[in-house]
Amino acid sequence: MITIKNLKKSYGKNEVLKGINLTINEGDIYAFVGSNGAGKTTTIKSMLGILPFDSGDVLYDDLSIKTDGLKIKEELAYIPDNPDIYEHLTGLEYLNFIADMYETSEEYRNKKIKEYAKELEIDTKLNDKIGSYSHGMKQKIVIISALIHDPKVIIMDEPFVGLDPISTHTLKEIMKKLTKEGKIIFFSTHVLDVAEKLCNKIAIIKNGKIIAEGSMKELTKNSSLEDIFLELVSNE
Amino acid sequence: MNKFLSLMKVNILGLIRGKERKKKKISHGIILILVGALFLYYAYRFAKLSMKGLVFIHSEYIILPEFFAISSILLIFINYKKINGLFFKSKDFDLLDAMPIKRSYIVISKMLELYLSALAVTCVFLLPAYYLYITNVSTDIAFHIYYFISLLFVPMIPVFVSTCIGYLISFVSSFFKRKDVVQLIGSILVIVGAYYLGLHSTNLNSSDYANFGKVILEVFNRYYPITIFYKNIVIDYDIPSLFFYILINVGLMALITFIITKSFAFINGRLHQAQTSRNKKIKDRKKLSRTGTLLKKDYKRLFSSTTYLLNTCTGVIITILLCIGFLKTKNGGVFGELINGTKAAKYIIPFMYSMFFGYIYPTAVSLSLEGKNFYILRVLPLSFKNIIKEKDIFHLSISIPMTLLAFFTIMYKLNMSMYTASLIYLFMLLVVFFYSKIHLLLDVIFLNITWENEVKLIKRSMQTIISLLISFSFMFIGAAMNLNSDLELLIIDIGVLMAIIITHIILVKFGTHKFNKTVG
Repeated sequence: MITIKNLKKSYGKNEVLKGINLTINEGDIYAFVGSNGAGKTTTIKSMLGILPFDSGDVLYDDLSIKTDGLKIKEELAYIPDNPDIYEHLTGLEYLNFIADMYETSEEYRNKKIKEYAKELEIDTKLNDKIGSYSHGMKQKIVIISALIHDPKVIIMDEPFVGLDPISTHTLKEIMKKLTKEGKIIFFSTHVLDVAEKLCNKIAIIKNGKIIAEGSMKELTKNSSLEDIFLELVSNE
Repeated sequence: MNKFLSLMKVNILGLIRGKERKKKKISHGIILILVGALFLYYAYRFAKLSMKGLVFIHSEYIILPEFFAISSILLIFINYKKINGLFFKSKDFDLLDAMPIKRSYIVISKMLELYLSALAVTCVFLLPAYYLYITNVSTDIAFHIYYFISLLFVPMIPVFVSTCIGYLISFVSSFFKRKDVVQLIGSILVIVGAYYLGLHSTNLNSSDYANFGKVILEVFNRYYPITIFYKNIVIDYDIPSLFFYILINVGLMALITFIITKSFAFINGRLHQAQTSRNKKIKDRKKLSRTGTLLKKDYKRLFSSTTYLLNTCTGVIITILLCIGFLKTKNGGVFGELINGTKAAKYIIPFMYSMFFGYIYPTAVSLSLEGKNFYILRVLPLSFKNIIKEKDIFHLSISIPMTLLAFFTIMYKLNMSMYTASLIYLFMLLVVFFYSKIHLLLDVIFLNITWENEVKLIKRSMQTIISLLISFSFMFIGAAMNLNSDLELLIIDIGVLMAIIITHIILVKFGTHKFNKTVG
């Protein structure tokens, strides 16, 4: 379980996060929605422990990201919004690099690389340098690299950007499968349609504050997520 | 503003300022001035040493063409490796080329950028020589006018020659699949070629000392003929020489600018062709330790960029060439007489090698080179201590073989006891350990992960400049201390060991803090 407690972050006088509180349970596919500049990426980077925050805490079960960062990271995976990865490595070299970092066994990584590369249709390109890849192909490599060490928590920042329709569908299926295994998936997105169909929980952020949070069923009782989002964002 | 002027403004701003905040900018500015002043001081010391000899043989005038030739030759070697990155691999070239600006404007603006940075280096070399000349020889106002007019044109031919070499390497490599390997071979051939020429041009013996001034001028004239024009201008105030000198300089710059403008699209297109592998099979890989895999990544990065490899590992090539030269030194030559006739040579030569070990500095920019990939290190379960460990191994795996090579050549050429030999090797080993720590610390202090041009980071960043300055310092410390006993060397060894420990403690404390603060 992830617990975000009163998370605050400022850049100078500009308060970007104004006390975020969220709870994400095992098996959740949690969508984090908001307009540009609302504080989504700042929240995600704070959750990962790569951006120091001013106050509050992010707990993974009982461990705090402030004090037990390395231990938490062993079970964590991150898919950034812009897949900047080592362009001088081949796709396969990059995946093995990440697997080595998480000390993933040879048997498990080789199996998973082949499995996910085939599913995302990048298996014939793994021996090419990442520098020659398109944005979508880089995104696929980042997605595979996030999954090959069997993480308990997967945090994604706009994971569907640049993916072709088949890969988008495959990724959604992978996400559903992983949550059935009890893993946590937390991702930010602008695509409300995907969030509505895929997620069981959602939080809407505006100007660094959570303005709505709960299960998708509760939130979208009588209307679509898009209508609710537009109403909430314009009302606040 | 005119398009060209606007482009020049952006390029010049890129040369003189970074992306740092105002407070940081001021501190960086102060450090840059201090570093520039130190380089100027070293050049002055070198010029003073040279002038001392020239005064003795009443040939003071030689200091001007001598430093002209030295700075020109040096500029060629500083610049030729920049060409590929500046013209063909620059990230902003595609952006600029997509705008309604003449391609010739883009090339001219890049050429001017190259010229301005070369002019700064020229001033560092020529101004101390100028100062020593005017304080030793009586001059009139005409001298100063001729001197400063000609100074403006000094970097042009070196920029032309280095651009030709760099262009040729880029052009030839564009026809090959493994472009990076061809560029690497081409660049190494240039260094080896220069070494060969240098070796054959400085084969002086004792009798040459009597005419040293004339001999050295002949050498410069033979290998850099424009030196004769320069001497005619600043010493004889010869107007036709000044006219031809300016004409040759400007003409050659215009010629190379024209050639690059015409062939840029062709070369750039070929250089950016994707290299795809025919092998479609996914091979199973063996598991590596974290340190091992980080090391593998760093080696891949090093060998993926000719600029990174050649600039940060020049010390490897120089050390190998120096060892060959040292072994080939005969007793009759000037160098031979120096090393065999001087009792303290065995204490000075390790310092000389240490200076060149300092030219091995891949870790001084390796963290910054992560650039937009820096977030990967932050997200992975890695502490900064893991990174220090890996970077130390990365640096030492390249440096230690060089210390062994240097040590065995010293042992072979100079007679010494086992105790002295141990102290000398310990010194060289400690120095490369120190470099390993200080280079990484410099990269942490001046960490820049938002760079746009790899060449600027590798060649002109603060961490690179200070790393080179520290290397120079070792040579100067060695010369200034005038060591001639084992006890003194032992004290130096202990001093370097203390410096390693202190640097390591600062690195762990400050580096961990900075690493955890950097988002990427």
